[in-house]
Amino acid sequence: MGSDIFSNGNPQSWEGRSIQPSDEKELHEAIGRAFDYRGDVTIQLKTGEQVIGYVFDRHEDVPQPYVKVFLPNSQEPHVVSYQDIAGVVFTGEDTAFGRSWEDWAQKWKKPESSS
Amino acid sequence: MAVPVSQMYTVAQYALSQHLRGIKRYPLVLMLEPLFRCNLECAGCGKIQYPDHILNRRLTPEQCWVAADECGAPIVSIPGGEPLIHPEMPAIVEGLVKRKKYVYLCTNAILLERKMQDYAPTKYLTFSIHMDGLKEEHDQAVCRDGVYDVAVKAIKAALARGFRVTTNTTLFDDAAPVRVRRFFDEMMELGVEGMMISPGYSYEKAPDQKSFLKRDRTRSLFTQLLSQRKRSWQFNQSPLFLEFLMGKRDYECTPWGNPTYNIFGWQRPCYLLQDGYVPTFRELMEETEWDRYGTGRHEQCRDCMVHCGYEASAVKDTFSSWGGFLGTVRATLFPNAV
Repeated sequence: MGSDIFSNGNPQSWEGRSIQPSDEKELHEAIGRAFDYRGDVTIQLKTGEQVIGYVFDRHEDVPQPYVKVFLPNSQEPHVVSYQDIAGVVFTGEDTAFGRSWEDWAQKWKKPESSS
Repeated sequence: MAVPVSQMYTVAQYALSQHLRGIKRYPLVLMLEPLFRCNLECAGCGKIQYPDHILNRRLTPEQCWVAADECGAPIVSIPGGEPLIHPEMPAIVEGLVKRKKYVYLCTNAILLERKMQDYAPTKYLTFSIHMDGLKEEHDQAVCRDGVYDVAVKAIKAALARGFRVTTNTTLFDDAAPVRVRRFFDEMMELGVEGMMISPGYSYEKAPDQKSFLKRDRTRSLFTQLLSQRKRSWQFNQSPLFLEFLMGKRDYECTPWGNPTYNIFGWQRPCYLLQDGYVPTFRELMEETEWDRYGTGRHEQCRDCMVHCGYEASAVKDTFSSWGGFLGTVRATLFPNAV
């Protein structure tokens, strides 16, 4: 995997981390992470521009692989070609992280009768 | 019978016609997710962890109707998110009912008493109330005290207004058979038409990862739940699927049986796995590599025995062989026979 520019010190969440892929394999891995991530990401383009939004789909098995992104203020998905991507930064809150079973169990006591 | 005869006839006619036409893969239930926003955050749910701008998106009524037309399944299940939050849900349901779809509107019932006046009772509409057990278990599962009581009150009100009402229950590793059987009694005493039960699926994004059932434990639990069944218990689902959960039958997954359409498009390959999206139902059916999925073929399918993958397998069994048909008759009339 490409170098992580910084980490927020939490190894389990990608929130706050950045991937700068150095080859095609790493690019596919980075986009796979972005696809699995339940928060917004910032896609850095080779042109220097950025696309910020939620990556909800990726199509790898086509001649020109691309990702589909929902931008916060747009109804239609934005399409970004893999070949235009320079890096991915996990900038939005990881909405699926930090709600462990232990947290729930502490908050909600189980019923005493268990059989 | 828990399911009305007209609905059974519609499903039977549909499944038989698909079979007779030699169609190998056909949908049975459209899983229509018009939004992901919910008014609860249940520990076993992996459906609602999204940024706000995604949670604020809604399918329009037209998108929902086009999806139902494209898909052609006789039953439309509307989960979510919480469908009753959607301001256009009455219009969505009305359009589906006009198409003679049997609609199961899945709700936690928090808003049901207030919203039910926007709907008209019909055999085509069922409120499927999320109930994960008796009061203690349910309030724990939905992570909010008092929800069970609200739901019970709403169920009574909906029944009083003439609506079809069923319950849907997801069971996890900590389910206590005696209490779940008592829960079945309680729901039937309320007067619901029938109950739907399923083991939970281990959503990657759900907070409660420890409590999802493994296959052996699933079979053991459902054998304890469904053996020596009371005649009063009615299940609004295939009797062969219940036998599958008890380990009496083995089925391969039918992921195309319950295709899912939501704000992202048609979801590959099923209601539970998110492996990508396509814009049309035809692309979903024709271009998905179905052989990649199912128990033994995909890591995330390993322990799954969930209704959205296997109930369609059971229904297909009923209508594709005399053995399956006679097994269904036997399991319906004599559910406690070995």
